[in-house]
Amino acid sequence: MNQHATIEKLREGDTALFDDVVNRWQDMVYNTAISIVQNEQDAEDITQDVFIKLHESLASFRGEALLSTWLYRVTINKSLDHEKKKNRQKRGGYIKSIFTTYEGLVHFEHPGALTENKEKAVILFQALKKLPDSQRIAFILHKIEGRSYNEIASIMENSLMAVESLLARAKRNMRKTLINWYEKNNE
Amino acid sequence: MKKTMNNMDKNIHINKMADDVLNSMDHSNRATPQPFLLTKLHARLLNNSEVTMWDRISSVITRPSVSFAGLIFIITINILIILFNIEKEGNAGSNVGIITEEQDFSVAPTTALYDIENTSP
Repeated sequence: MNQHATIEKLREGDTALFDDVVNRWQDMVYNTAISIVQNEQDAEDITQDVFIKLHESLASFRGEALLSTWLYRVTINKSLDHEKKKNRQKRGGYIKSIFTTYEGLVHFEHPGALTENKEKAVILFQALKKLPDSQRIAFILHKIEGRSYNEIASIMENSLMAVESLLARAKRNMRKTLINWYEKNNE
Repeated sequence: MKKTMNNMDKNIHINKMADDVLNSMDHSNRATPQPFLLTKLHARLLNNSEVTMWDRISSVITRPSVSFAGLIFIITINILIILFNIEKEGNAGSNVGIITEEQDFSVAPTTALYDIENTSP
């Protein structure tokens, strides 16, 4: 069944199909959320929020985007909102973020990283936190979610050129951060 | 010369390490949520659907901003009513005065039913 037909059936109140949709896309939503917020419990809450939002929005869903694209957008927005909320809650979060050194960042192990790459993935996620939101999202969608440039353009509602530029800048900035870090630690 | 070579080697090594980190999530698996996500989701949806109209209204009314605005509105309405009444009373008082003066200088015949001083038939 294609995604448009799925939406039509969901609108008709097919609860079994809603369960299928959750089962089919929960890993995609969770993996995206955990890569952004870098916390398992928060990612789980965001995943639930995304599917509740889907359930509530079915009547107004216009079907202009694919269901997967819509789910990606909602997940990204909710994850970034969650992150901002958490940063605001931390007293003096902004001042702290200016003075936080690279070494002071939270240690996060992505559950999906291959065993031989676990340590490198920890460094990758620390460096990811230093990127601006748009570059970080493009990098996560491409490198972690394995989406193509076209898909990322559709999810981020950007042109293909803009996505290419975002990814190039993201990689350049990440490389710069990593080289600085390695130079500092190998001295 | 040897030092330059060492620096170059070091740079190559660091660049390689940075590349390895950048590619560390290639071919990784997707992270999966805890089991029973669907059950938790159904429970939350059920809780959401049990929210009645009154629950929604009370949740809106009890917001500090809404209740404060409501309080200000009620106080303003009360002040306006009081001011309006004071003005109205003032106007009513002055009307009474005018009527009394009109009656004092009135030359109109009395309309008494029994004119006891008039003896003529």
